Amino acid sequence: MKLNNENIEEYLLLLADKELSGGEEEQVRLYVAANEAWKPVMDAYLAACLDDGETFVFPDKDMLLQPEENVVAMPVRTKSMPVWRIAAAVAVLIGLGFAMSRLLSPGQAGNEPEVANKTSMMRPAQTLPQATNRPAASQPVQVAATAVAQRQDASRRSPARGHQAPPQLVATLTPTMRIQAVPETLESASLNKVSVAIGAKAEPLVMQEQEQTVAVADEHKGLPEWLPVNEENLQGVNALIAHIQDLKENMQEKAQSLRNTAFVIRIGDRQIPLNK
Amino acid sequence: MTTSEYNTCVRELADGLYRFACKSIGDSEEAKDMVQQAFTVLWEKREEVPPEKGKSFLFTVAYRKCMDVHRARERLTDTERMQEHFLTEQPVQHDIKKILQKALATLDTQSRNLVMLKDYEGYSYDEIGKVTGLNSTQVKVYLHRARKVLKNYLVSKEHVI
Repeated sequence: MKLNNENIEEYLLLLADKELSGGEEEQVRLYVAANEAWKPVMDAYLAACLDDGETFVFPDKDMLLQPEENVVAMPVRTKSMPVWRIAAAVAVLIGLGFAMSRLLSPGQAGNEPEVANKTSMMRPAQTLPQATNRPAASQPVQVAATAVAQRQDASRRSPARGHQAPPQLVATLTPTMRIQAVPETLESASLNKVSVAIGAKAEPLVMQEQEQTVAVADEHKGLPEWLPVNEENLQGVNALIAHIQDLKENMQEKAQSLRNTAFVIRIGDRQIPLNK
Repeated sequence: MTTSEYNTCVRELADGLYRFACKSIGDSEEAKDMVQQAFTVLWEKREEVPPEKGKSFLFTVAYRKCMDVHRARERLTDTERMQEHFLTEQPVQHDIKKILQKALATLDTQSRNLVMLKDYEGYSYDEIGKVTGLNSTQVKVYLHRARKVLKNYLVSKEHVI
């Protein structure tokens, strides 16, 4: 940049416009300092600049502001659940609900045989005999819960076996009761072999109207032969309980997320926040 | 531009836009209307305007509206007198500022707007060109011409500084 009397005014204008770099501005100021005649011109140009510190306050700013929405992002589950697990969970929940409704319904309770609430495990390693004379498929197995009835029943129908199932070892459980009884059953599962007697048409984990019966027998006191017994290990029940527990936790987590989430309904340009 | 970014524009730019409008058209009520109109346009077109372009968008809208106002006023005989009255009635100002406001009132509308965009908002020649629709060379020439007018006004016999 070469400054002279011909082009200095152009640079003074650029200085007033703040379009010069630091080095260029320094050169211009040095030139003006060396040529005093240009100093009043430079001062006049700098004085002709408007003061940007002049403050104006727009009074209606609040009228221009628009309501802002507070949208909280839903947490994303990192672990996805397979469809079959969801379907199984739904089936189990429906079954549980059905069973609970049956349990809590007073009308139903009167029509069913007396039910033992607990499954007691007294002796280890008892394998129940397979049923040889099964009743009709639609006929549910009924096991008396009282000691007298059980002894009478066993001695009358199975005299050859010579032992009877004590009342505390036999329990008839609906699906719900079966699951509730599992923790106690599992506590002693390492020492006891648990047998499950299921009606002829019953299938594991499928909730049907047919009753399912769980019977735990003593080593020395078996069940009568007429009783249809289908052995099934309760090993899978543990996994089922864990799965149900997992589902419960997931539902609690979802509910918590929904409680912490704000929703906004948008209708065209209008936004309606949903307050809790 | 989101609602939050739009509100940020309101908080940060409304005052500057109001100053520009006041100085340009010389009527505070009309300037308020102009600022509201500019922000209304920005809100309507917020989907198309990126946040970093909010300021230039607002000043472009305001500049055009100012020019429209001045074109409408050209038919009125006392426009310049009214502007000069407004510009010289600023409260609590130093003498040199009063003189400068009078000098500013002597400029044509476009030159006055260019000076204000340059000095108040700190825009470069290119940015002013985008706001006003001029090229940067035109902006530079008009600005330098306006500076000379202001300088000559300040150093005239009546207003020697």
